[in-house]
Amino acid sequence: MRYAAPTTTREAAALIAKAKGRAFVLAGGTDLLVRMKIGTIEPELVVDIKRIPATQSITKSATGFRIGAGVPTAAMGENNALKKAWPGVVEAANLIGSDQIQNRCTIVGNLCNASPAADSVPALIAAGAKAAIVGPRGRRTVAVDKIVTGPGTTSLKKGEFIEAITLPRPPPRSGDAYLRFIPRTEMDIAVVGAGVSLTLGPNGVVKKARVTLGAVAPTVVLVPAAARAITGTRLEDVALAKLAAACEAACNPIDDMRGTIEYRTEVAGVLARRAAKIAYQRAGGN
Amino acid sequence: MSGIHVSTTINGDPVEFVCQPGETLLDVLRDRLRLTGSKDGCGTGDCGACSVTVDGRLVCSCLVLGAEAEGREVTTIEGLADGENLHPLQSKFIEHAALQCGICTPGFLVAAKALLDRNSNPTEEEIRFALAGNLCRCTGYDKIVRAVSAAATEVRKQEGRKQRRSF
Amino acid sequence: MNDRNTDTGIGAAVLRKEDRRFITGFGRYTDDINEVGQCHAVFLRSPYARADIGEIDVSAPLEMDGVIAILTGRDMAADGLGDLPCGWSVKSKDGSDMISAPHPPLASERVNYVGEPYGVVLAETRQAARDAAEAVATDFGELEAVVVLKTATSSEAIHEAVPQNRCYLWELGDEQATDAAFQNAAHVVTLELTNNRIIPNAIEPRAALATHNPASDEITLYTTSQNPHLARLILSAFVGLSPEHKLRLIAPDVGGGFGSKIFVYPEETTVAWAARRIARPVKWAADRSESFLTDAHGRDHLSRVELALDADGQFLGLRVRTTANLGAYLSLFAASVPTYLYGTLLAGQYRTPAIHVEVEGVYTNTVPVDAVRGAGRPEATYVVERIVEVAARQLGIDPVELRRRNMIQPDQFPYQTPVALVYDTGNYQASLDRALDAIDYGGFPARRAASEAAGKKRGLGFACYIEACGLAPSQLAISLGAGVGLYESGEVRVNPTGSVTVFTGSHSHGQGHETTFAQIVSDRLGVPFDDVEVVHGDTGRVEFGLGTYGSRSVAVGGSALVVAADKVIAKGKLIAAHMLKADPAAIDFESGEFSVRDSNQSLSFGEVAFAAYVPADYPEDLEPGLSEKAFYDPENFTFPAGTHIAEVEIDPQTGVTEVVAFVAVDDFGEVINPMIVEGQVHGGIAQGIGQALLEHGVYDDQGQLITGSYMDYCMPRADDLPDFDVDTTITPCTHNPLGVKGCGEAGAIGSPAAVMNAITDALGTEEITMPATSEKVWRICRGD
Repeated sequence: MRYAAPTTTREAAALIAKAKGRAFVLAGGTDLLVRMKIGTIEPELVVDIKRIPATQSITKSATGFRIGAGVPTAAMGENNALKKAWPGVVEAANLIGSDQIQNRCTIVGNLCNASPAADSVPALIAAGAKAAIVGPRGRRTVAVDKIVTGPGTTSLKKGEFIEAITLPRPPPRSGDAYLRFIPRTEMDIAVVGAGVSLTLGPNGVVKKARVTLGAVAPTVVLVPAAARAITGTRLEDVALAKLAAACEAACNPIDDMRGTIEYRTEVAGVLARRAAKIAYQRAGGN
Repeated sequence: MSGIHVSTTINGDPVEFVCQPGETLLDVLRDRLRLTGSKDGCGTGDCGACSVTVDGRLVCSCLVLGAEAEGREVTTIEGLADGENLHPLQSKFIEHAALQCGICTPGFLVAAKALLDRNSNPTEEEIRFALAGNLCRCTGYDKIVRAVSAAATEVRKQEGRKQRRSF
Repeated sequence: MNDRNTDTGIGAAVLRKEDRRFITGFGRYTDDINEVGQCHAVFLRSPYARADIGEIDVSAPLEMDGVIAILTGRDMAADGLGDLPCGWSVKSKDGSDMISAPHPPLASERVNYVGEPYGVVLAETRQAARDAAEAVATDFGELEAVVVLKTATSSEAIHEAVPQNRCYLWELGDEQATDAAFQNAAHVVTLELTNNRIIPNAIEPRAALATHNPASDEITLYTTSQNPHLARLILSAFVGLSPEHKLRLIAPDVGGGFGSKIFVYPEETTVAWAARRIARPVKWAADRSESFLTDAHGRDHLSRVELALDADGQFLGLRVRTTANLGAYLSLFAASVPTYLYGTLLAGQYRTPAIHVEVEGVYTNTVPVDAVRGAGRPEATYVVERIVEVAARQLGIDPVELRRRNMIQPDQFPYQTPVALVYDTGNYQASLDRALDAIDYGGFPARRAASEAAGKKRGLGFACYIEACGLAPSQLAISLGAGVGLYESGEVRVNPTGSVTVFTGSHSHGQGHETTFAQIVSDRLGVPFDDVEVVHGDTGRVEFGLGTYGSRSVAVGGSALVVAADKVIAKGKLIAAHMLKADPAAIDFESGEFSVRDSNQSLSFGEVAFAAYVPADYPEDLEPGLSEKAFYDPENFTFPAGTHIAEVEIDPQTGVTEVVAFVAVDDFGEVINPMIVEGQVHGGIAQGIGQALLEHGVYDDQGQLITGSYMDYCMPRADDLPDFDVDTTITPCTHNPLGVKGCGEAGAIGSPAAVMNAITDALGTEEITMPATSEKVWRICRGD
């Protein structure tokens, strides 16, 4: 195995493109090093992108936020502007593992690891986040929900890697939230995750919403029917019941040690309701 | 296999070493530098026994490559005391019997130090969450939580004294 | 707090001597030690639960960089090494001996559990050894594995010599009297119980470092052992590795044991053998996945329990039928754990007049099951305290009241139970009363109502446990099948300047012996606490020992030191009498002073010590020197007991269960260091709550361990547990010189039953097994 720590994006892309065997990007390393340790992967090249300045910062602009691929999720929690604009995304990112993990792990890593249970991904998709991809043929930008194609697989082409995630500037009267359920309070894999992002009209009625679920299907699912169920409502009980039903209908989970199909499905509805209420409050609804 | 030459700072001292590309910082500390205070409890970032800080951030050294330490500042358990003077966390761990077999203790101390560095007045719940990345099989955590809380009080007192002196 | 440092005697919360090295990172554990020229061992392990080992092709890996040798079970067999023994022999109810399946350290023909080692790669680096191990091509002939405990006796025999996979069918108690009790009963309460399999998970994985000195032919083995002398005895007498005097075992700082480091394992044995064979120091440290796969697991019982009561709720009889999983081979203590350490405890704190227990010990294709913290006693307490709680519910009697009606009264000691033990002393009502105060039993209905108003469920559960510690006496234990005596050795060596070095055969891996034992000796000899040093864990320095398990250290090892210290005092009196020209019978010893009764003449302890080693003025008929040994063999077990109460709150929408309060009031007899004792109780409670709520070792039907990492095996973390409210009551043990009983396991013994009683109280059903995961609780809340 070789280790390289280039200082520019272009250099990194060239290294990955020219690798003779399997090349992996090292950002936080909290998944990569575990997989190396247990022997599921044997990289020929590891490219540490943390020496590239563009991967190292969170920047705020008129159009929103840009979070570099090397930024640990703990740093997202330390950024007040980001927390204020996208509290659900930050909460989700700060649910990944322990403090030790959060000081290393990144949302790009969480995304590219392509686990159906990745905590930050439902919140990112609900928020309409995009991935800034660099590769041998230059740059492209893709919606986050188009990145993961199945458990462990992504749509990134050989030599491509994600340099940053961008989040739009939330419109006025917007709020987001993410809740997940695990068999314990910390340090495990979600059995269900639910992300809700919504914008209210001036009358407190939901004008636009996005609802996502994690760990209940091979990839994170966007549930338009759930969004429709609450659009045009003030989250009355009937609307929440429809939201929960739509979420349950969208579930296609696995049965495993952590949770059965039934449990995951029903808890998905419970969490989506709870997350919708939090997002609604954050948007200024009562 | 050619080694990678790394220049870094460990516990305030400049250190140079050569390591293999796939070698973790934990392996470098333990096997090359003989800083065996950081312990290998799982190798997968789940137990926290190998906790160190890199540029002030608490990490599991088993999930950091040795090569990544280039130009960074690494602090290990061996750097917690100031010579013979124990850090308040260390004193309070003894006073509260917050350790038994001692294998997880370095990791807990390093993690608790990272907590107090950002929050010197944590609630019990904040302490329990901040230490959730460290496994202890002996103590049931009760005495660890109490020791960290007592150390926080001591750290605040010391900070107060420093501030008064600077006026 | 302030008098802590001035008062260092028995009963003082002295700060631990050992802690400074641990909090500075200078603890010295096996994996922290390195020898010049060492190479690294990585084991070849079975990927199958049951398979014949065919050809092992090592030609390619032997050519790899850094590979020194690859040794297999066949090489070991050719060297004539013997099997790993089980130290207890149990007889079946028909009088036949248990059937012990041969357990070679490295398998040579057949593997019987996933992870079983059948060879070892030795290489210059651990990575090189790992790479080579992966390149070894072994032909396995996979066989059908026996994994499910319930059907194991009707499955194909795993070992040729063991029909029906039954190691023994053991019984204890009077079957006829018990049957009669049930015939006369007004009520019979029945319960099916599962005691879930747990994985010990000491945070320090097992490790070994062996060196062979060709000049002396001595092997030195550093290893993670709770009992290095016992390990040496086994490696020498049974495995035949080396004569005992050519084998030195050192257990340096050991990072937790909880039972799992009692046993002699294949890996440590192999490392010592390999070091001599390849003439290089050999080091091995398990990684966590190896710990999960190969450390002996615990518990794993299926039981059917029946309690007979009269119309007033008096217990008439208890009948227990248990199937105990022993794993693929008998580990060192395995046979005794579900029998003598289990069946004998089924009287609990009660006067149940007739008890009969039958235990079927069964082999399966899983890693051996052996003692884990509590070892048999948590299983017994779970049986007794769950059925008592259920009986109270079914009869509509307050669970506290039902227990009170049946408890052995303080004036009934010594108390002969129907299951062999004689409890020497106790006051069970006292600890129960104290615990009820601490939990505010009277306030529970209001707390429950408040939870219900918030959409939650709340429950309260009790466990009034009994424990038998300090396994003893030797003659009884040997008559019951123990392979060794169960005494402990101690030596009090007074140095010429009056400081004292104490040697104990007990080992400390978290228990704080260096402090507790120094307190005992300092108190007895009147020597300053700081002048007493405790040495343990090295067969080259300590004469002999049986080690640390079963909460025996202070009751047996501590007592040995008292006897040795008393011998030192007796000899000191002879020296002092001579120096003071007085009759030895007139010499008193107190607080470190030898004095002539009714006079002002006295000598300090240091003066007498100095005279013993610089015998200028010395009795003619006395040997110089002041160093005494003792082997202390207790008269009986000790019987710690107490009450644990758990209070839980449940969110019915998700099933999340929180232990909101936990009270433990224990009677450990006299307490040497209350701070250390409190910590022992805390740790035990955490493990018991872990077993009740989170932890479960699970094999799939192919015999693959599916809980083989910290992501899949749920360990209790800081945010999973409450503060613990612990206290003690004291009835001193009547038969050892310190009046102590032992405290290491109580927490793990009482807590699972207390937590499960609380959860079933909240849920209103008994139909839930440990661990009570969120999903199981949620299903019940939903009415599934």
